[in-house]
Amino acid sequence: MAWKIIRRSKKRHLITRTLLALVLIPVLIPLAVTFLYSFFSPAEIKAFLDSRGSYAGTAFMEVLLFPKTASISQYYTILIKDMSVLRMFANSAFYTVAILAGQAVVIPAMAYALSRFRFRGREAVFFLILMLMLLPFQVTMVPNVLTLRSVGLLNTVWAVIMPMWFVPFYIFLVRQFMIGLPDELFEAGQIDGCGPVRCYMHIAVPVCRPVIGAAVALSFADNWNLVEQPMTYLGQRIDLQPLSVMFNQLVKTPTGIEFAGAALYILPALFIYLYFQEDILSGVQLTELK
Amino acid sequence: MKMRRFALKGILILAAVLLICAFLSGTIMSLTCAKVKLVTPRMGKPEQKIELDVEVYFPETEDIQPLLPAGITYTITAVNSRAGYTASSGDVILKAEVTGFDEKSADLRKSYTQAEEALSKLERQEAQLRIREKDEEYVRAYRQRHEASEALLLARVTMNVYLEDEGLTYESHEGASEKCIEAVSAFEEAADVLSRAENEWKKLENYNIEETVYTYLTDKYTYQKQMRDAEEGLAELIACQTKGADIACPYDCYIVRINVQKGDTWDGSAPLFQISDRRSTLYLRSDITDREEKISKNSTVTVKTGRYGMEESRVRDIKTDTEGKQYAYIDLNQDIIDGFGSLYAVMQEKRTATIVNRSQDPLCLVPVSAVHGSGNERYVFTVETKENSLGAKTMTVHKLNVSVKSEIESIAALEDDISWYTLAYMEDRELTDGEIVMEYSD
Repeated sequence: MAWKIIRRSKKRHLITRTLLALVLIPVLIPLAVTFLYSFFSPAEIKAFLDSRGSYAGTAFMEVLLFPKTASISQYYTILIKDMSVLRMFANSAFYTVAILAGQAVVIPAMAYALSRFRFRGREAVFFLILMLMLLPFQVTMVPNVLTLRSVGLLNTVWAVIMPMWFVPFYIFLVRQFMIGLPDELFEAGQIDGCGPVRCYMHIAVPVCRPVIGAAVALSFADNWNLVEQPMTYLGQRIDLQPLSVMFNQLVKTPTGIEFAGAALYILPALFIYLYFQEDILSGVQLTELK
Repeated sequence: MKMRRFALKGILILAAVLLICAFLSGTIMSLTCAKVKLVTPRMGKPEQKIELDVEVYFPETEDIQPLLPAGITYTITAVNSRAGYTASSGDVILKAEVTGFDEKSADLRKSYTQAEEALSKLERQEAQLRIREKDEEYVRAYRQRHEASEALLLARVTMNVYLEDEGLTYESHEGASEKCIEAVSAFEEAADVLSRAENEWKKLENYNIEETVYTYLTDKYTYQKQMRDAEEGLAELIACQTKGADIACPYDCYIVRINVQKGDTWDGSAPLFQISDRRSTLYLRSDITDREEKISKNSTVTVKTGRYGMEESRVRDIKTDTEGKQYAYIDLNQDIIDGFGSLYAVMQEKRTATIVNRSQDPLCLVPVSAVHGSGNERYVFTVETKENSLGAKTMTVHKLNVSVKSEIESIAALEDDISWYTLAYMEDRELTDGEIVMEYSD
């Protein structure tokens, strides 16, 4: 009987794994192709991309699996020959780091204030934050532009960075986690002489590390892929645009370096995800449990 | 934890690689990119200045070479002109005298006197001799035959020398030179004379003349001949002395060259001087055999006459002589001569004339180093500057075929109008179509 149970269990796992694999393959194929095609020569890739609009609609488009000549020319071009991609990559990195740094200061503090303190208008502020969270970017875009122009920040890097310090979703996420923290923790701290700031720095933040980690990872992904904000607020400053915006321009006219650029673009997000993988999972779980 | 460490290492390595690439990118691109200088073609009329060394040239000349008898030479006592001078008809150019005139005339007079005295003595000694007419005829015929025989010998030797020289014989001398034919005629004439003398002698051969009469008549004829020769020689000597005293120009002329100087001895084998009729056109001639530039007829020429003077002339003709040398002939007009002062001044040293060739139509001018290729396959590299969305500029060269009309010094004139292009030149390595280049910063 036991072995029947074990066999049944293994069969279930096999089916599960097969289903997961079937789901995984379409997800991973673009990633694998990106890295594979990044080692094709630029001329071959350019010729392949030029054929995009001219294949017969009744047949599948040809898929290249092996290059005629394996080459690192694409990487040579983007890393040495043409610094445009690197410069835009640096812009993306700058925005991400600056936004994360600002969010690291602002969001936990706001969440702490909204969760641990009772003051007049607290619910109204929280409600506003929820409303902002639900509003799409396009709704707030025009008021933001007017505001930034009036303070003279339009077409500067701060037009992209500063509004992103106050992302409602992460305030909500961290606040919800902080609400679930037992009061005894803070009381213990107060008994030891901690004021609100020390309670925040030494109790709230360390305890909220998983959710803060999750927020960092998710925020990194958001900021690394910023498109609308730079396009809207940096319309006249092409040199300040991040790679996420300029990639579209690069792909419009094939230059043979698209896949190497994409592979380079994927790597930081991949490493950040790997670093915060546990935090993302535990952070989401804890939030749910709470 | 392992995953975190792996992710951290990955981020750091990625950051390091990107930083290193950003740091070295400029250096590597500077090393690997071809460096060029940029130039914009301009429209213009190319002008080529060709400097020629010229000298005065007289197209028609005449040698002055008086005939001298054998054995007589002149000693030049005065030279009254120089090359480049003008002379009128009758102007004395040289003065000369017979070399050793006094000694020669004294010798001739002495010979005459000796012969005369000897003849007188003979006449006195043989006053009683009876001379018949036949005796004189006999001696005369004998002497004529003897002289004819000597003359024939001389003529035959001269004729044989000419015939041997030309590889002919007397029996078949068709196609012989003029001098050879003259020698043959002289020989035949001498043979006729001998034949006549022989016939005359035959008539008198058997005449029995007395020995004393024969001796008297032979000696008499000898002394008379000696006196005759001395007299003729003296007359010839005096004639030469008189002729050489003033050697003049036969007509109005330029003195082209004087081959003798005061004190020189002249034996008549070469001309004394050379003249050119003043009515003939003079030229400045330049050897253009090895010139690569194209020099054409009627090109304008400027001649610098002195520090500030410039006179214009034209290339009248371009000719190749029998040795294959090519010459350009430039009119030597009176303005140029006056600019230098005189023809003599022009001839003192080599002069320089400048030909200016200017294109009629405006052409596209580029540096010669910007034009590549050879023959009919000439091309230039145009530079296209592209600016990407970030403002980064890259320069790419593209090959463009052109037609080169001419190359003058460091400028090439193109038939195509490419003045709106920017061209690459003075590249530090061979360029290929579509290659990215950088501009020299200094």
